[in-house]
Amino acid sequence: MGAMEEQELIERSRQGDLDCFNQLVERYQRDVYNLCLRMLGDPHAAEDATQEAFISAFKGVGRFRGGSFRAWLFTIAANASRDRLRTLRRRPAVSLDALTVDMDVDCRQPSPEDYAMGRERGEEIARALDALPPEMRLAVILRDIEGLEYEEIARITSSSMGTVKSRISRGRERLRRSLLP
Amino acid sequence: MAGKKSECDRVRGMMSPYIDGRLPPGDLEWLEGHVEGCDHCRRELWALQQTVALVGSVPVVSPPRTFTLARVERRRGPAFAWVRAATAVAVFALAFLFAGDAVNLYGGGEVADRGELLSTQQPVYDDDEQEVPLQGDLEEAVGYPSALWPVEVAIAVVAAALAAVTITLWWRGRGEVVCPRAGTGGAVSGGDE
Repeated sequence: MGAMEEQELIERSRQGDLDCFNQLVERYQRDVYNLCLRMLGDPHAAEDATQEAFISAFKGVGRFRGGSFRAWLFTIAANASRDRLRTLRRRPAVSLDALTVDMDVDCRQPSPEDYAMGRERGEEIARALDALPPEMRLAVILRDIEGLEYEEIARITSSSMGTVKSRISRGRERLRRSLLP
Repeated sequence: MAGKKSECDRVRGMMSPYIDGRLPPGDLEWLEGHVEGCDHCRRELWALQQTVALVGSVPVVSPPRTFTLARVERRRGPAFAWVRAATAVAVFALAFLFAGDAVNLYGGGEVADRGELLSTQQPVYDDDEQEVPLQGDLEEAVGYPSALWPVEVAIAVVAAALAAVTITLWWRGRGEVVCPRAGTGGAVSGGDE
């Protein structure tokens, strides 16, 4: 069952097979967690939002109508993050632990200087993202970090293409002023 | 000069879709032509491209644990345990009282006595007046039902009500629920394998 195709996993999840759904969780939990973390700026809140997102996804997998499962999960994760944002009275600054660089991604052994720079840079970007309004932040994260197309972002955020373009454009402009003054 | 400024404003608004390859061919050529001859816009575009690259290079964070799910029996709240215990107590109390009645623990005659009394102690009727024995006197004489019958009825009503609440809570709380899998601590090392 390890190498089962995504479509089959989704179909079995629809029939209530939790083991198959858990394979999908393992496949996408990193993406979903990172989206929640960028949105919320707090590792604990991101953890809770990610878990809520996967529970909601399992309950609602019957409503998945095809297309990108990852994008569908992002829709749920974005909603979970919005809910969590509403309950957070104030968002604490992102901790250094939250921005630990995943060296698996870089595929190279970094020097201590690279590691420190990566960490510092990550912190700086996280702070700049955190300063954006939530919907603008979501659009920029989905485009520039997750690499989604405008159409997918419009579906995830239930917005028009014009709104998505505008949010990305204004968000990037704000980030530019913040990161490269 | 004003025309140049408005051109720069227009270019600024098109920079983001340009970076994403979303400009129509006509606009694309026009923007590239403008940027070639405008230092300010060229610098702006370069800074925006650097920003996009910077944000895109944000490090991926490993989740602190796995988010896989497990099925568990739905947990009923503490109210269910209290109501269930109260129902049990009421039922036992009722059973105790009935058992006491059955062995004549609380005094009075046995059920059979009443029948005998009714058959043997028929009232004597005078010619002038008919005396009808009062039901209360008769019951007092035979000791049935027990003097505790109001208590028994009250406890029976309470027990029935508690049983109804218990069954309702059990019905609502039955079934399974998905929740985070227990013992799934530890950082996740791989994501897309």
